[in-house]
Amino acid sequence: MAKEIGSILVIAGIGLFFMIYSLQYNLGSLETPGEAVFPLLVAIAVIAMAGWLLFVNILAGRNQRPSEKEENNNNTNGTRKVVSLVVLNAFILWGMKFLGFFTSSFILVCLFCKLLGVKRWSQAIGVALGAVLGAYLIFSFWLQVSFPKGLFI
Amino acid sequence: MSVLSALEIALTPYNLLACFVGVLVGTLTGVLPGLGPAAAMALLLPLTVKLGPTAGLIMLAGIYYGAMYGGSTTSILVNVPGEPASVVTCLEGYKLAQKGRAGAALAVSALGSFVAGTIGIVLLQLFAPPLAKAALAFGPAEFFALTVVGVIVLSNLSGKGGIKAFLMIALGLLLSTVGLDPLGGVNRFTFNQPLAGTGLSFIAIAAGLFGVGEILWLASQPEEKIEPVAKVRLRDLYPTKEEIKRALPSMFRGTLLGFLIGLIPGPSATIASFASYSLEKSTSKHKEEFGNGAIEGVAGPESANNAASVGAMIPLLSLGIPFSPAIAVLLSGMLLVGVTPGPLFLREHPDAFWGVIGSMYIGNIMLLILNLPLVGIWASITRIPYKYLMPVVLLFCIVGAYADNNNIFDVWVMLAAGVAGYLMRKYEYDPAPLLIGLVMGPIMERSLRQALIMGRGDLAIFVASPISLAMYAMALALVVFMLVKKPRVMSAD
Amino acid sequence: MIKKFLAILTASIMLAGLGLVAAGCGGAQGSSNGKTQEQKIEFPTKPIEMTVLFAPGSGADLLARKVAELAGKELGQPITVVNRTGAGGAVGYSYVKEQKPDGYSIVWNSNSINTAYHAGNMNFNYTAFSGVAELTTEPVSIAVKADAPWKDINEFIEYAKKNPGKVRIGNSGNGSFTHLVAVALENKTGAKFTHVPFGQGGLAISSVLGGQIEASSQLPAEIMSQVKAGQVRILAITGEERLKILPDVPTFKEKGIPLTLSLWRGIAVPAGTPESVIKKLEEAFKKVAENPEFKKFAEDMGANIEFRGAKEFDQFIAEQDKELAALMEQVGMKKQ
Repeated sequence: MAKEIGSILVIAGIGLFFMIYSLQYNLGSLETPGEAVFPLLVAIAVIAMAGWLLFVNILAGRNQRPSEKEENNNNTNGTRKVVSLVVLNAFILWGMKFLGFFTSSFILVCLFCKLLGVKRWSQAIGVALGAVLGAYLIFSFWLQVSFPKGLFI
Repeated sequence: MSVLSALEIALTPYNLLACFVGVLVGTLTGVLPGLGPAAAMALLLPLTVKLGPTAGLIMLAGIYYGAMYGGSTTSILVNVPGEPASVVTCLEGYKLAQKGRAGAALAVSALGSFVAGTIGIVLLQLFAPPLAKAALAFGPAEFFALTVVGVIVLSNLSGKGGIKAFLMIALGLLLSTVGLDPLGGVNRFTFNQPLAGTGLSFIAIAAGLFGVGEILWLASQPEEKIEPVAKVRLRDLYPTKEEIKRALPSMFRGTLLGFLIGLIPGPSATIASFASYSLEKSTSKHKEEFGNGAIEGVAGPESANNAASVGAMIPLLSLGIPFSPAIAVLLSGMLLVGVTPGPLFLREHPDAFWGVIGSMYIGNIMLLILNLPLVGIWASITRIPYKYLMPVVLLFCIVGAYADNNNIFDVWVMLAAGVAGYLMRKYEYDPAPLLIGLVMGPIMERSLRQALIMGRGDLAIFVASPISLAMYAMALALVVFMLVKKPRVMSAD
Repeated sequence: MIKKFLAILTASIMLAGLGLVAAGCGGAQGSSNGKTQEQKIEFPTKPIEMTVLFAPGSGADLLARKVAELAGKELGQPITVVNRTGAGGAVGYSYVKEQKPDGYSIVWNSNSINTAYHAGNMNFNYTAFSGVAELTTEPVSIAVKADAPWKDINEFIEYAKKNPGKVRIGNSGNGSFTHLVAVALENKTGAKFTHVPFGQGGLAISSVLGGQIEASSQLPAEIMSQVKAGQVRILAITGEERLKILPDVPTFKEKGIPLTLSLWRGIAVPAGTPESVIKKLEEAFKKVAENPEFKKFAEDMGANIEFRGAKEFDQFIAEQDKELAALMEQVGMKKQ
């Protein structure tokens, strides 16, 4: 129940954020509705529904008492892996400005392989090289997509 | 002129080659995430001009409907939708692949696409003018009514439906308002970041929620738990008789539904696939399989998006009005080769018109022949261990999100959506309704505000036409039905 | 075994097809190289990237691709077109502005530079760019359904004057150029319309056909097929003279309404680009404007050739900025 309530609160928070942010835009009138109208209405709907679910959950929680199978797949090792993957990914996206698209993609795939449990570096580098080369040939060479450029290509 | 003479034009070697190149490029753009048919067609526009009107348009059309074939491939294999219209195929297709039925899913989706494409052309030939007229009867007020019904109908998409599904749809509607407002003018919720003005791209969010979310989920599992499916034997590559028997009715239902939805402006193929999935789920005799790999959930949507892409050609051919970006490029192509789309097309360029129609029959056969043998090759991808496959899939997600609009912001959006997808899986939320909100949002907002402006403050415009009235009556009936049949929808799950 | 053979066969056919397509695409670009050797400055020595602010296949995109193809031949280096869409052009402008001012990043410029700034979607205005050359202008057309009661634009305006707000005119979005032209028409005539924004996608015309709105404001090229088919009538177009593809459609000016606002398009580079490079580019684009192939193409697209060199172009944009800013102020869209 706790995680259910927590996630509903997060959604309600998103709704609240949009509601407050949309107030800085123009509401307009009934004849000329402004750009704030739709997001404001939907945000209110989100908050209302989240509120209802919260109410129902708390009610149910009181009746049933905490008997849920809470900590079923709580493996901290896995969570740590996900966090490091996301951080790595964000860091490399940020570094794209300096390294260029393909160099940073190469590093990303390489490290990703290692994180997922590929034992040998040679294998990781091989996979990365193949994938980046394939992406380069299809998207950059053939389709002429313009990727962020950097040190090498 | 008849079908036979249409085929005659399409079967000349030159036109046949143009058709082949078109459907080949189409399949490829479908497979590659981020590269949509609109971009691929625009890239080949200069070549179109060189080929001449008939062959040029045959090629362009080939790319257009060919893309709907390839889109499902990556959805099924690695949970990354290659096209927006194949997002819903992830739901059942990827599950089937995990059960070792990737080949069956791929084959059924190719077969469904073929059935839908072929029936779609027949319907197009028979009913184009009246349907185009009917499409014109839909103004903003009617579209708004349609989106209201749509949201209610599609809310049963997620596991349990009910209020939690509506909450996720509303969240999607909310996210769709990021970026330029659909009536033009103002950037919203961008924190003054100009690059964010592009909004939250549907394909980036879909690739994030499904593809990247899945990658992160697999990474979080202990290694021994995530070994790929057992060896797929050769005869397991193709669907069983039982699977075909179950898939066939879905294909026909999906075709009819998709073809009609194709007449709606905007991302109709995507909406069609969602609607078909929802229909299959509620009519299926194997309800318990939905969510764990039901073949109907692949056959229906994949037929629907193909049929919708054919249906969407009706407003172009009969009225000369493009209802979607890809169709707009097709229209540009026509103008470039000196053909006036719309009612004059048939009168002024009968050869090109019938050539294109004829080539669509042939192109669909080509696509089937092209795609069925590929099933084996694609299915073998599922045998690659995750630790090698997933980094490569991630790279293709990134490339795809970027190439869609050459904007690095989209890649950030995808990464964020990936994290959200992982968390949603962990906390048992279904991402599909959110995507419905995201795709319906702009249509809903635009039609709501347009109707208000056109009514000049008079709310009667919303119920002025019998079409809208019928829609609202349907919506009301659905809500009452939900409340009566399943009173528990108001509760948590 | 047979299946394996089939698979290999298909794979090789696909590869062959790929090569074929690649050859088709690459063919146009592999041409002249090194023609520029004798020039004083070494520019360009590598491909140039042209950012287009609108989607592939849009009117802006088609003209841009033709210009890029022809100018690339003049410069001896290919110009690749990259679409960076969003926020009424602000996304693309922001990208190009951030690039090195070396002439290798150019933008297919238009009135969007004015409207996107004043709408508050980017924090810099036209001065962040240097004009290279103006190439075309496109008039805006006011169209009604073929069986509409108004014979010409004057009757239409008369009706709108007598029934203020009753005539609903569709446009391609709030604060878009087609919207501003309709507002300018109100200013010049004293009529009062209800403006219905449709956003991108050009569906205003389908609402005109469906009878949900009375008229629409758009570039003529967008509705050429409905006009030719006799479903839609253009009452008048802006601009100084009639369009060659619409010889029977009068201009507002002929009808006594002094409305000439047209959508201009041209090339701009980030401010700070060396004069010599701008000069080199300007010469190349001037040749494009004079190229008969381009003239024909522009004509078919409903555009007029209107060449302005770098200096004049900058001046022209500044003037246009004032005019459009005033109009946006009037419709309450001016944020900065």
